[in-house]
Amino acid sequence: MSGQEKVVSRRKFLGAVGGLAAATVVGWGLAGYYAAQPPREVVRTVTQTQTVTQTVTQTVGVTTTPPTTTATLPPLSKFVDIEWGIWSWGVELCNDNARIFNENNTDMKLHVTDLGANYMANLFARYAAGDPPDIYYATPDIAYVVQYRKWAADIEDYFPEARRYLDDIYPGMREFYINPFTGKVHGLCYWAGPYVFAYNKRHLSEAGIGAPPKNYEEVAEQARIIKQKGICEYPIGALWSWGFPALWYNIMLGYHEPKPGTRFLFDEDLNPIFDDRGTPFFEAIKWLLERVVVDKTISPGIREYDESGITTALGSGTVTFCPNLPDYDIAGANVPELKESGNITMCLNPGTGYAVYHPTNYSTSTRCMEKGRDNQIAVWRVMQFLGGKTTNARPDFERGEYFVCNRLIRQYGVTSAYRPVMEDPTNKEVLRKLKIDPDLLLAQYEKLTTILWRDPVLTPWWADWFSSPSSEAGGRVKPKFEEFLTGARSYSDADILNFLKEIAEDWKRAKKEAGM
Amino acid sequence: MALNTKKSNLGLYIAALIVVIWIVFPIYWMINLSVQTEKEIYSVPPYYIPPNPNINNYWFIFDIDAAVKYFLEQGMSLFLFIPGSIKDFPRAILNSVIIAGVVMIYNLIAGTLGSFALTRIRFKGAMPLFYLSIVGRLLPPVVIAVPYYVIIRSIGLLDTLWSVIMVHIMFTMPFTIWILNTYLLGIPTDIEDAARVDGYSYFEILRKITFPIIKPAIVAIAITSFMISYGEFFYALLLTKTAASRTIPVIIGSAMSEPRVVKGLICAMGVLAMIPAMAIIIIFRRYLIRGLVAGAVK
Amino acid sequence: MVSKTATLFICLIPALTPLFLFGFYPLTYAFYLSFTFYNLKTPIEPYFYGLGNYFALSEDPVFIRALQATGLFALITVPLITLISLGQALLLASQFKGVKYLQVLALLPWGIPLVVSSTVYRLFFDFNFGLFNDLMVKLGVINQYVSWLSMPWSALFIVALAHIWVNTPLPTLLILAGIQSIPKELYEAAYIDGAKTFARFKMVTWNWLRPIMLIVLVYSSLSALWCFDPIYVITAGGPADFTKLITFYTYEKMFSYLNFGHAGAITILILGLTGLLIYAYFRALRLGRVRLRV
Repeated sequence: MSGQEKVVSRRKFLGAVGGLAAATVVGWGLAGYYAAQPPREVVRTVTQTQTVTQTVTQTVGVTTTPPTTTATLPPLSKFVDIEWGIWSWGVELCNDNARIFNENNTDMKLHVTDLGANYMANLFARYAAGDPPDIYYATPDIAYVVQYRKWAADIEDYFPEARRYLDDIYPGMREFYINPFTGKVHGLCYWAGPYVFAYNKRHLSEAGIGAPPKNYEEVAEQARIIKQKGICEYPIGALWSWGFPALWYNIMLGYHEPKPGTRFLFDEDLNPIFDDRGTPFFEAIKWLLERVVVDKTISPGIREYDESGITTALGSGTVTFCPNLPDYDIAGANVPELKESGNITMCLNPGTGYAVYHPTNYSTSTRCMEKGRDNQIAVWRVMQFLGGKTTNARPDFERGEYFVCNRLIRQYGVTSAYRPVMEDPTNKEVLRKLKIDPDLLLAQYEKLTTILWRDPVLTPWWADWFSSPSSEAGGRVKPKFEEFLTGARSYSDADILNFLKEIAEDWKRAKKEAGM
Repeated sequence: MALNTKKSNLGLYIAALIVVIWIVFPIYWMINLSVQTEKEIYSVPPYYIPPNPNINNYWFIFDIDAAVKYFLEQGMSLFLFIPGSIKDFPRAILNSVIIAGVVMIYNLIAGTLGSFALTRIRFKGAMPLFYLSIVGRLLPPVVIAVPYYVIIRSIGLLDTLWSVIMVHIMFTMPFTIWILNTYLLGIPTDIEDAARVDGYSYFEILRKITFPIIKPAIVAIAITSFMISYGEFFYALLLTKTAASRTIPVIIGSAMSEPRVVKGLICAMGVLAMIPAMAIIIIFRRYLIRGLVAGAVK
Repeated sequence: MVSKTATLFICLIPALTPLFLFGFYPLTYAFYLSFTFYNLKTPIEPYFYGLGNYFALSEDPVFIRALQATGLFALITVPLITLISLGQALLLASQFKGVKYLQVLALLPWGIPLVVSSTVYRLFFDFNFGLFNDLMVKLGVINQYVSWLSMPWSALFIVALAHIWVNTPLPTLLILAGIQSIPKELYEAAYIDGAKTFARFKMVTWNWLRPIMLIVLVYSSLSALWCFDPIYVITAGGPADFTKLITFYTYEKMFSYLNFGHAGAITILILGLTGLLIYAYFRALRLGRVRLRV
């Protein structure tokens, strides 16, 4: 160190601080400018939401043949470019589908954008920046938020014939193709399928168990036997990451048959009703924690199981049961490369047999609809190609086939909400080859309930509270529950009750913050 | 170096061994997994040495049709383990290298000029400018995604290599300036002052005197900016839409989120992703040493 | 001959344009957000909110936890990165057979995207198929597989490990370049004075390295404050929010909760925190204020 440099004088230092302060002032001025910009359009209150939802449910129940209007689309007056936002699943297939579409529709272009692993964040970032993709996947929680913000458009507003597709959809699933705020059909189906109860039949027979469990007490019992016989250290696993809400609903449904008006967590005014001893949620938590603490048939490491984790764990025989496996992952657990290939199968959700499911739709942005009639027509053509009926990649409701839906199920076992797709003999044969028993699966299709998403309604903060079924980020209940697994909470009734009271408080606070 | 005495040689070798294990083991594990099949990766206990090493995973990255064919022959016609995005992998390597290379060269030139001006040219406001250059970078990148996206979109650069390049330059520049400033300030200015008196222009001084002295630091910032840009994931994902501009981390990050992807493939991609970075390190190492020798003479 | 002003402009414009364009617009935006009620999940329009976001944050237990997690993470990673890179640099500056290869080797982890290295560490510590569990069982430390990622402290350490592994090469390189630029005369003088190895290190190396150590400390602290990829890939903030670093929390606030106001307020707080930290380092290393030769 040469001592030649002078230490900067006090005056200079103050000058620098002054410079920073000046920058702050400029920033403040700009901030003022932005703050003075015209306010965004007012968003509806959620009170309206509820009533609308109810009317929708009624409408769906009543409507048998929706109004039919002309289905022939006029030609495009200019070349249109449509951007299709996907998450990183089956990118190859999506690109191939886009290629087929483009070969048959030379007057427009469909191009695929992979919004990546953090799909929700990227989609919302694109929306917040005013540049959303034209058509994209929407899970119910994403759909709810974009509809609530009026970011997404209802396709039925522009093409009333979209409603005809409802007839092909399983009745229990129809609700999710309808915007709860407007009662209109907002998009078509990408995939829909139950969270099934999957198990390893080799483990069961090795343990001398004849039949899959009939109820959750039997699940616990069989897991104990399997553990005792040393077949599997922790027989019960679960899809933790994005299957967290579904896990609880499937256990609660195992004990309580859903009837119209059944509510597990909230009453009609969105007040928590779970924060007491003996509520379904309380019992479900108790059931799970007893498996973790008393039986030790569930590992405290259950939180490590994301979709890939639980599928490989099943396939390699490190777990026997999974109460909330996305149906197509049975195929993934049975791939020939894994040890237990061919042994993983499913049964109806133990107990009542009812299970929850996960529907994903194609949704279109309001911004795209505002670009003009040509873009509207183009998007509708794309949407019907991807989630509707086409012939040679051209919309054809009367004689066309569910081209992309069929491809999905045939290549990956990804199931659909359309009855014609699920009951197609070729598709059934394919499912069988993928080691998914189509009869069992369809039996579960008949016993589905919407309660995961309708307990009683979604709210904008629902996913932030429970944990999102479409993103790793966010969620209050999941981290708090993990305190049981790390040992920060004991599993006594009093502690469970405390936990429930705390998350009920979180819910109330979120509700209050949302101005309700 | 005065640190080197014969007595401590054994200690040095032991320390070197620890460093080698610390560095090499994760890389070895990555290579180990990349030459195993799915079944071998998911076996308990894991294989420390690949039982039947095969380079299928590497082959698949460059020839997706071959991969499909391979799985067909294995009787897995219905299950493609290959994420579609890897088809773009060769292109992504190129993109990554171009982006990181441009960012590096820009940093070299602009960073040297900028810090030279800030430290060697006497002017009012040098210090506030220096502070300001750093303050802009103290924000955590995640939060400012939306304004970045808006800027890039409004200048029409979305989905081009330039969009990623510009953002990465912003990420790397403050650090570049800071490192170079520190180096420049540690070096006596006698020769430069003398040259100034002799009537040399600032650029001549920079070229003939300052530049050779600060070479090691420039090499350091060159590698720094290359690596930061090369590994950056979040913005590259946000700003790119098609294969034309995707970078390696985006491809790997996307592939990883596929629920049924062969882990070996990811590891193979990781191993391949190391190669350009390794090349940069090896190439620049020569300059690093040469620059250091030149600097040490002074 | 180019005039001084022209020289200044030519020199500064290429370096400062991207900084001002991409550095200060977002900064302004973050300032604006932090004083605005801006929650896209409520029907309430954005309006000037004063310090409301900051008050809301101070009452948010998760925010406090995220701060704690970040503090712990920094307390683990900053000293480790500094010490490991100092040790590595000293080793690499010594002369022994093969040191040149080691110099290249030590920089390698840097070339691996953080996403990839995080994946490797995740596979390493995997509950069922990980190497670490097997190793521990073989060494007899544990008698059955343990889920390391489900225990708060071990999860934090695993994330820190993935972070440190990628983030030591740069400080190593900086310190190495610093050590190699030490004039030999200084050592000789110290040697003649009869200083022992450690005293020599303290007198010469440490003094010479101080400004570089400052950069290293700032760099490692900043990278600890910004650490995102390993959290995203390895733990997603769990278990029980123990590894939810402030960036991950901000990310959630921004893109999951769509509460841009809170996200802005956190950003400004981080900015202040970083500023304080850097100031503290300047003081601690007794460098006075930034030395500029003017």
